[in-house]
Amino acid sequence: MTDELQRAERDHLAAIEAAWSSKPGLPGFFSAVNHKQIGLRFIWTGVAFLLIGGVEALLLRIQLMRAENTFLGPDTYNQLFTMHGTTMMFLFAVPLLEGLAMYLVPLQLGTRDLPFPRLNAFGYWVYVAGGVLLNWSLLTGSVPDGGWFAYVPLTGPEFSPTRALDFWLLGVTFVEIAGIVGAIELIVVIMRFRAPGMSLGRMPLFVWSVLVMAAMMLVAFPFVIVASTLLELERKFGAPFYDAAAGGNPLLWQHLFWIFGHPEVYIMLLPATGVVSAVVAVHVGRRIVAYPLVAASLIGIAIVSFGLWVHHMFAVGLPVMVLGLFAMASYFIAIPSGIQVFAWIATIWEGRPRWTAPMWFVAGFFFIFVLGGITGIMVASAPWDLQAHDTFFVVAHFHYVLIGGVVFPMLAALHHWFPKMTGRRPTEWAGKLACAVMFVGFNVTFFPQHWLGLQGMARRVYTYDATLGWETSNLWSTIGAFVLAAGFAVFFVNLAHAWRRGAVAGGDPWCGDTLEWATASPPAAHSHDVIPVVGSRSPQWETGDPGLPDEVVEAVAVTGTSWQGRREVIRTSVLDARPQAIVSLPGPSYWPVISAVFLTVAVVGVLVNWVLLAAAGGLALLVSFVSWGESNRRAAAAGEGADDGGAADDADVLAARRRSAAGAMALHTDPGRSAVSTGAWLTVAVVMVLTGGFAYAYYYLRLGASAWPLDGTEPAALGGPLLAAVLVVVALTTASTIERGFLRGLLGWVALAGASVVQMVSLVASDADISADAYGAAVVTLTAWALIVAAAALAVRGLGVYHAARGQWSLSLVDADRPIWIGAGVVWLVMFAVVHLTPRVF
Amino acid sequence: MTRRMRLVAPAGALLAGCAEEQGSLAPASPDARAVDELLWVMVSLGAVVFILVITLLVYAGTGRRRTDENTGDRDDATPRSQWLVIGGGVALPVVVLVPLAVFMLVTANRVAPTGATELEVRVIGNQYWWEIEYPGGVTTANEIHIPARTPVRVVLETDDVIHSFWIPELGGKTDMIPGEQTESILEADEPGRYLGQCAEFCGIQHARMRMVVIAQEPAEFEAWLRYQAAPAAEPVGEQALRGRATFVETGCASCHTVRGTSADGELGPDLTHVASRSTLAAVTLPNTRGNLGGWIADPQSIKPGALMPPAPVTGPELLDLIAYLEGLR
Repeated sequence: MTDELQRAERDHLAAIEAAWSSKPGLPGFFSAVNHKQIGLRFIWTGVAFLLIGGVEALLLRIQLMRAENTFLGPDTYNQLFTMHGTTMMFLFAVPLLEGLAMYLVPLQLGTRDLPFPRLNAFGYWVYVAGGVLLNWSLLTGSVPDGGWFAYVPLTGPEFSPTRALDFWLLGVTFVEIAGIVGAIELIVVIMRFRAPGMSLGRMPLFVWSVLVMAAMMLVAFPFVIVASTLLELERKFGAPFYDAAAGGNPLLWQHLFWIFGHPEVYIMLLPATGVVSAVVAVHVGRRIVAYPLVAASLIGIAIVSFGLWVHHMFAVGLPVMVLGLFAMASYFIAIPSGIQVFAWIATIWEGRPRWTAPMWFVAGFFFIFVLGGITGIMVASAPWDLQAHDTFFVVAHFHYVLIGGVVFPMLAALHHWFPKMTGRRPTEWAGKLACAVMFVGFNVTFFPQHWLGLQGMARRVYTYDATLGWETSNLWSTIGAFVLAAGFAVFFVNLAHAWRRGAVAGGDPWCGDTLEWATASPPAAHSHDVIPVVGSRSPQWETGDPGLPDEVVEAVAVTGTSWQGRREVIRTSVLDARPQAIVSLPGPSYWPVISAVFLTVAVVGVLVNWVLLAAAGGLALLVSFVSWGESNRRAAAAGEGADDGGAADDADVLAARRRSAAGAMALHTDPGRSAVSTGAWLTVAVVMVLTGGFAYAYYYLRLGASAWPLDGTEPAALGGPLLAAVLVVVALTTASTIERGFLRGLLGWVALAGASVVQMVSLVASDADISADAYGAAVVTLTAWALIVAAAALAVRGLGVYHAARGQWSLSLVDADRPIWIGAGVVWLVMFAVVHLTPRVF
Repeated sequence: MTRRMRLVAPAGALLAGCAEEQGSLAPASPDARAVDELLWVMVSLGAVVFILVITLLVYAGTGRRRTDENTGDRDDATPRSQWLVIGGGVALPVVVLVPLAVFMLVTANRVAPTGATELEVRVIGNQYWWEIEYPGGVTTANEIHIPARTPVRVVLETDDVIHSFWIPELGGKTDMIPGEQTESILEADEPGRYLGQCAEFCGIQHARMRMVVIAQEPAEFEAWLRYQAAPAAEPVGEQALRGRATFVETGCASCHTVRGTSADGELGPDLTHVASRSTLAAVTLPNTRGNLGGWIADPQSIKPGALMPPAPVTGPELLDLIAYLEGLR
């Protein structure tokens, strides 16, 4: 290559790098949206919470070390075990794994960022706010003490009157919202932004595990949000969803919580198994065998895991048939789990294993997780579970599966990808030492706890009698906990030391097979210099045949490096990853952090019953969201952030789309649905699950009631709600029409707004009382939910109509409008059927 | 300010003397024996599976049979790997779990709380003690007497939060849920004392919400029940008489019932025959003079968070109360 060409090449790359870089210093810290930065923030914040939760556990173990110990009083002990569980389950495991996914998945897919970078940043700030809210209580002294699964009525208004549980409920909800936001990002990037040629069957198994995890999050997390919302309504407004005396039912909490809670542990486990697949393949030099079976097992585990939740409730007095059914379903999940375990064993057998530090952690994972799986079968056996439930046996079981099955792979992941993230290698022998110490410490801590459970030691007890003979096992368990802590210390000191002084790592220190190893260590801001075309499951080991026409491959080579001063990625089709369009992503912005701050202010206002603060925060949040959208819209109009195939402005794009042109790029494919559209449909799916959760609560209470309405009166008049429903149907007919002109869009807006007004008036006129009984609570809550969703749709439609009337177009609003509009309409009609038709029909 | 004598028993002497068992590994009832069998079947099967998997892993990991070629790009299924994945991942679970499932279901049926019983007892969970009601108006607390070798239906209820009724040596646990009624069958193979524990976190003193089941020969049980049905013994002696007066005046009667007197409070345990019970405060303390006095004077120092306030009595008044209560056999 001539000097001139070389210089042009360098300038070209420098320009791409500049387009993708974040601002430096403090402004950069608050405005950064790059997935690698956000992903690392999730990871290290997660590690911080791991250490906090670990200290809480050590304090618990000190108290239990001796019978009748007085190190901690009962109140402090109960607070600490609540915070330990809450921190580990909500603030550490899922955020860290999501962060790892946010960091790695775009790299492994051969793309440059997640599709909604500013939303991703917002998710991080909301997570931090949730973590602060949950731990704020440690500063104010009003610490949650109802356990990490917060059973009612203990956590209801009567038995937990202080603000502690409100902090808990709202903090958890924040963190779950951040989780859902991240999940939507991950699904969209995996489905729509893979490198050309990376069909679904060529995705890395880690990416499969993340895809399945994210899909599970969209279905599971809404249930805990519904449960928490109903409890907060009971605590703040007296809505007796869980109060048996007023038609509520404490078991409703348990069902809603565990429908979330059981899939939650598989949400943690699946990406960890994805890590194992990734690490094993690299360190034995062989792709994981039976790839289709392993991918199918991930999906199988996800589906089956939604059918097991009642195994947390075996003791509540269920019929034998129900016990048997859920016990057998719990057994069944051993099959897809077993397929993965044996696929790894077979891979190791067929390959050439190098017993590096990450593989030591994988070995530890095998030993501990398999043992945990076996005790899992034991506690799944319903009649015997009635002995083990709520004892230290179960505590031992879940620490075996969670620390063995999730934490050990996480540590393997951190050691394995640390060179990629920082450009430095952690010391091998220190990693192995940490693993050995942790392995010994872990087993010494938790194996005796099986024994303690069999000896009758219940869980969540701050002390126990000296005559019961439990002291020796407890003492060993505490010693083990400190050894385990020492192991963690060695591990993180190793990383900290390596960060500054570790051996420099090249791009591919382990001879990896997936695309992240094709980038520099650490990767440049733009990750891949060229968007690759992929023809195999292990693109770094073999090139393979992408199966795309030559012209397409050439076009990608040209456009894949095209920069035009914008942040560009290629959107591809779902199944075969045929390139569809060039998308420009929005760059750094302060709106995500500002919005997160205002959201927190609004929520804190609700928490402390300061209406002015809540209203001010809410209003500021609304303004902030609109400004954020406006900032995106202007950037898109200026060429950045447009999913437009390169067209100059949005009106042209709409025209192009109407002509079904194959985009402005000669890519020979249908441009397909935009990323915003996919993201909006996924958001609507979440709203549907939330709606399903509310409906579940309604019908659960209905089925337990002898009369409905509970007080034996007639349900409220149908006229108003029926009129509103008709107006909503009218509004729904304008779902696809905003592109055709703003008048029909406006008509739809007026119809939905009118329906909302009619419904609100009807609700007030019917004297519905949220605190009267469970029926009143359900009617008011479900009606309010439909109104809230409608309000969101009105906001999106309203903005779209406003812009259209001024001759501007915002592609994102157009793409988001249809799913949200349809979603709001369906939610409304479902709520109408549930609230107004059910009492008349059943 | 009243001077109160503190007679708090030192923490270490709570149930000094005898080592006690509370575990499920010493089953003493048909139900407990049935699930114990299931346990040992599962442990045996589990041990075999675990050893098998780890052996395979170790064998696979200590690789010595490699060829020199790079195996990275060879495609998936060698016959050996197919055998491993299908054999280990599908066949092994099926072969182990199907028979186990059958045995598990049979056991579940055996221990289900169905079937008629001659005796039915109501147990009501409270924060942090157990109320027990027998047919015929007998109410007691924390100590359940049953006739040995006789199945007893226990009806479980609560009015405050969720508790769980668990006597490990006699069987699995059953939750008590506000607004619901659940059931369990208790049957002891032979006479003896069987310790139990609340097994669902119910608040600050969940750890000290224990109980004891005392199985007696049927004839002895009948005698006990007749005796418990009688109203409270009359106080004997001046001190005890003063004690009864103090009991009513200081407000003890507003929480506790003593049948045959005007004391009819229902917030705390029935004390009609309190002296016949072996423990206090839900099996937290042995029922001795010192412990009784300490408990009444300052329950919060023994069981902080218990719903019983300290008694506003002077030293002499406390001694009178103890004398009275000791007479309530």
